[in-house]
Amino acid sequence: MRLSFVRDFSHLTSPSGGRMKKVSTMKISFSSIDRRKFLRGTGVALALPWFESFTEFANGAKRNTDCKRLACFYMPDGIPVPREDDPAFNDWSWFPHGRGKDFTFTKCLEPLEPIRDDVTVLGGLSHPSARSIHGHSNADQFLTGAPTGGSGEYRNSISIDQMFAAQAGEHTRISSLVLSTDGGTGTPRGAQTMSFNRKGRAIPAEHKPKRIFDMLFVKSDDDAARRLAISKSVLDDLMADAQSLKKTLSKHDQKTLAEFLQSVRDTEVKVEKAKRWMNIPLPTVDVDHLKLDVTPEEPRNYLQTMFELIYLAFKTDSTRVATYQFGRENGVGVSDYLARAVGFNLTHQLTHKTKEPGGWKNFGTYCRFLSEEYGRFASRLKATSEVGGNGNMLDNTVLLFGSASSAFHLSRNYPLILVGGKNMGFKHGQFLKYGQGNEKNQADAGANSDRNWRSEMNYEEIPLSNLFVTMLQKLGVETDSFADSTGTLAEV
Amino acid sequence: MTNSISTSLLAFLVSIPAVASAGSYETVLRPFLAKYCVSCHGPNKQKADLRLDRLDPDLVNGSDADMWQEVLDLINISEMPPKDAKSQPKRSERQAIVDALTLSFRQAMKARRSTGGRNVIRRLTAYEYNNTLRDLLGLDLQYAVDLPPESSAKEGFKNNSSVLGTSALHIEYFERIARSALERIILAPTKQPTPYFVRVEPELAFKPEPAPVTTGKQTKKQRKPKRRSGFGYDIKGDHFVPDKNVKTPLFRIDHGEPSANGDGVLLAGNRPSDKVGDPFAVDRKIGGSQGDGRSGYQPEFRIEMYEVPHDAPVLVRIQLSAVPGKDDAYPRISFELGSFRGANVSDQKEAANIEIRSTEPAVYEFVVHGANFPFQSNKPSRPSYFRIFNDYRRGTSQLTYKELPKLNIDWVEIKCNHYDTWPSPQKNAILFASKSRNDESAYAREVIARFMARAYRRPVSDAEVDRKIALFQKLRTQEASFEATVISTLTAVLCSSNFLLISEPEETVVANVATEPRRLNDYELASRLSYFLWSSMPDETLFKLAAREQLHNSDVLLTQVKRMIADPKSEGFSRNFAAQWLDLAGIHRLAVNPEYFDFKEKDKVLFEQESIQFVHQVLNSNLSIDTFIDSDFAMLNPALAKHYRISGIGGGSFQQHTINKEHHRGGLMTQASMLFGNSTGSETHPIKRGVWVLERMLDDPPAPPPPNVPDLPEPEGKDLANLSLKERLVEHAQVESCRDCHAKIDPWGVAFENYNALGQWREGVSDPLVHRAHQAVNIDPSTQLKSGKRIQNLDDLKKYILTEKKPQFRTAVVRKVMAYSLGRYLEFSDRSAIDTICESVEHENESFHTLIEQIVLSEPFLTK
Repeated sequence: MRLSFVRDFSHLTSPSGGRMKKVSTMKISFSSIDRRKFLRGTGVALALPWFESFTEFANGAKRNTDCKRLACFYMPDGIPVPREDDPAFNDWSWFPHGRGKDFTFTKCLEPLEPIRDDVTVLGGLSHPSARSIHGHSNADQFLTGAPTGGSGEYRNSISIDQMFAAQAGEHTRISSLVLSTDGGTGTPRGAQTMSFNRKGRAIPAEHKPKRIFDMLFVKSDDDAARRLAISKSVLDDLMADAQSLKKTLSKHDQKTLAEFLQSVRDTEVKVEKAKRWMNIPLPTVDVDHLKLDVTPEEPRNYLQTMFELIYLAFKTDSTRVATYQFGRENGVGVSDYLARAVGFNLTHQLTHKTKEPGGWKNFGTYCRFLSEEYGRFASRLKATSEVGGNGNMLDNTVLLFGSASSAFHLSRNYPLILVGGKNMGFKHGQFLKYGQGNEKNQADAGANSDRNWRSEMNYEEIPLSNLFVTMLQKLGVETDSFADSTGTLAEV
Repeated sequence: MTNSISTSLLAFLVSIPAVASAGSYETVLRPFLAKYCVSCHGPNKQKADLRLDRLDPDLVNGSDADMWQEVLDLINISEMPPKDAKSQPKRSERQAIVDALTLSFRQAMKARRSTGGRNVIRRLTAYEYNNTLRDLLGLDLQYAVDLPPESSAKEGFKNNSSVLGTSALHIEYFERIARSALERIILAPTKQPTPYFVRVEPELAFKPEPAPVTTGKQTKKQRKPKRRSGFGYDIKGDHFVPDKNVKTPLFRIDHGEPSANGDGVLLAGNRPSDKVGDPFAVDRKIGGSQGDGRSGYQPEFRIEMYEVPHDAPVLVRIQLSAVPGKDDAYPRISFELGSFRGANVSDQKEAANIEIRSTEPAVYEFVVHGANFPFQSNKPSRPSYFRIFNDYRRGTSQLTYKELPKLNIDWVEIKCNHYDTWPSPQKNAILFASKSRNDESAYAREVIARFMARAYRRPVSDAEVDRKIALFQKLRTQEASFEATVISTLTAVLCSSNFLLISEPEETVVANVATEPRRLNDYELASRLSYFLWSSMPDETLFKLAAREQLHNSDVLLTQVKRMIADPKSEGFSRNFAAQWLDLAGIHRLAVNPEYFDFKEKDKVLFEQESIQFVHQVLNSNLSIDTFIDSDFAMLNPALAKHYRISGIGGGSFQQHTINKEHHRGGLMTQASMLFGNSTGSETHPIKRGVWVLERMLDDPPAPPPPNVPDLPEPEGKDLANLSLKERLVEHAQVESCRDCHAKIDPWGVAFENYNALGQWREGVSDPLVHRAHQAVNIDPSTQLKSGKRIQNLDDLKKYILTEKKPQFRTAVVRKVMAYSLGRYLEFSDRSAIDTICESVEHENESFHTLIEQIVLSEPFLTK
């Protein structure tokens, strides 16, 4: 008897035994060069001589004096807001106690104490169009302010990072980094990306550290110029193919094809950009400390790796804009495992179990973990001096961390932390409480269900877009409005 | 308004675009608004700046749809009219207006997304893209792993045109994936790579004088001639490695015993220690592989090789026979490729898993591609390996060591860099032999034209080829070689809209006018068939029939459908249709709460496999679609049988097992994929389960809740934790209008209460499988459906579906398969086709094949 198979028939076998074990999926290697070369890299070349030549070439902003950066982070599902009379209030309420310059961090944000003078916590801000929409629908519009609603037709608009990237992206190899733990775009009202383009279309997020690293630092070919010229020809050809197909399509099909054409055009823009960069060598970075195949199953390591990649991208001026969504709302997806970093099972569940013994503390402990990592990232920027310039990297980088809901998925009083950007004029060391009404500014504190997500507003809040306009202006974007903004925030 | 009326109304109204349909606006909405709303939101007063009598009732083209949604929500949750208003609507009035508005919104949604009942252009899904490259290039690699994760359409199908977006990121990936695959094939060296060859006679391990132990942690104990369980032996004689400096390969045997004739090694199945008659009960794990997650004593046979050519085809030849165990238990060979990533850290993946029945020695031969496996070790000093073991699991059977089936392995040969021909067949298929090989431009034209036709899945026009030739000529000046230019040109072919999109264009320019429906041509039909049944491109047979214009013949079509179902590639249908129809992704969205269950997360894969295998079984054996609701068999492997507490199941992979009543299994609804996927990961979730049944089995999705109503409350604090499930449902449905909707949903889910969150059976007042702290209070599956029908338990519910609800269930399955086959939403114009298919299916004893055949023969499938 003789059995012969020519195909890989591993897919025909059962998952018993062998298939159940750790299966690493072997990927096609995209880089034609030996990556070990990079692994042996000698650290970031701090002098970055290539940069000087580029600034002349691109006639762009001088990095040392005029480099501005933005990074935004999203935490799903809100924060602990126990009532004032709850024993957990003192330690585990997310918002600090006090206000203005006179405030104390609770244990949730305590890890930020060492960089207190670079930190502003904000309360009383929210997107008006989301205030009566359940928090789980709102990650989509955290950075856009668009009325994406809770059901029905869905339309989004450009996110603040992309507004800034349209300008800052001119100066760097990559316009912006769009990252999330879950990757892709997700679904309407279940976004797995924070970034939306000028047409309001979701920009797919990268979620594999290895891919992000390769995109930033691994040269895809030995002779990039030729490659790019070829890409351009290939793209032209794709356009021609699609245009000729279009002529023979029904009206409905033409719409679908239009999206395809648009993606080809967007790719062309990227190739054009890459062309301008082709003579500038890629920075070499030391990645011995990084485990690039880490997954969210190892949450702390994964989160640190993602932060580190953003740090490296900023440090090498590969981009000046980044978004990273820690997780999708509502405990959907692998991001729900992040709480395992601090010994819990599922992240979203922590938000539902605040009334169980130790519930506030558990949820707060998770928030503290995020603060630690966020703080570590900010401190790292602070500890790195700006190339050729005065101050440190953090002074030229503004970081926004937040969630589209506060107490139990209530879409108001967003928890927000601004860090850095002193050279742009950001003022820090304060807890700013906006709005009018209930001085406590703790709508639905202590809520133990999300039943009140559309309760009456007893407190008048300020549009979050006002903060965005303020940020954009300080980042050098000439605008006096963003989405539904009504002004700016002078205190920030 | 009852459900059945709204359904039929809906059917009539979908094609009418202007909604808050004239009728319901005049008869239901306007009177209600006039009576309860307009006094505050009308000509005299406009509280909250809202004037309802002026709102445009056209939800499709009008501009007030958002406002109407708000009105609906507020009325629905009884916030409007305000509590202190003088006149309050009756519950029935409120319900009527909510129903009317909800219906209108549904219609408007359908009208907006309508494709006019016509099939539409769509991008290949990630899995179709992967399979198409596999079949086009003849190389089975994981091409699509880096593509961004994809979402699914409202009705759960990923191949729905409306959700298959394309972004610049996609284009970049498509370009990179295509280029690297083509480079791998075309840029292979001209000289055939030297094979790396190893032959092993395992009995060497048992010769009177054991060969000297060479590597690994050796202990004195191990060196004793008796009770040895694991050894490593250098393969001195029968091997050939391309480089003399490469370390000598070796083989290891762990817990194997000599075969009766002394000519091989016997590997028993996996089992916990039974001490009695088990020669290895003491020497547990000595010298064996560790930390790989296998439990108990796993006899294994491993060949370790250094610096293997890992990115190339591997030929494996094994001579072996079966030593059957008690009760006709046969061994299974499982064969893995892996590598060491560190001290005691290894990674491997299974390449084959086959039951062996022959007691006579026979040679088995496999070819796999090393790139699909973690076969590349990360240091020259760490080996890559092949591993063989007997994947018979004792499972829930009671076989002792002696009674276990064993594999008798005579010899094994491994050949890396295995190419029958050189250049590789993949390269020969692209750069084929031709008379014009010496005339570069003539040859380029042949190569590109042939590749294009297969990639585009149709004949290509001269103009199309001309354009690619123009590209080729342009690139030729920039590229270093003919081959490199071919790669770039074919990359363009693989990124073209003609490859990435499934399109059915008109033959002439249509210039924006609506076209009349037309028959698909035979090539279009071939693609539609193959993406339906194989999730991949057509094969040569289909192309030939298309070329002869015979495919559209009903007889030919039916023969092809039969052939395609019998082809292993139909696993593409079972996997992808099942995954999307049954929402198997739900399994991965949820994590099991370890406070409730002792459960290994990775075992969730079993849940997914069971449902895929089950659907595949129905397809393969042409069973009745009733099987989806109830069956006298289950697809089980030992691990899943253990999970379900079904005794007597041994063996290896998933197999059909007859079950009886006390197993409480049968059909899709008792499978853990559904039961777990629609739980909270801790507890059951009757609402989700109810919605799943209505949506997936009866195609009658309940109206969406008013946006974002809270989920079923988690038991918070001691008080709520003591509430019974039913009480919590009542708690949830405090608002009247919620209660009305939930009366339609919840009872369907309550009937599943005998199945815990992991789909395990439970009854009485406690669930023995849940940790004590989280005991359920009372398990009561009895319920009453909205129709008044009383249901005692799930068996009752199944019966009800298979009798009174039978036509609805049949239609549901037809609609699901049809939507999947067309890659679009179904519309009113598909209705008569669906009715006809349903009649045939009923007539043919609910045969699943009939259902598929009739869909293939239906107008919507055959036309554009």
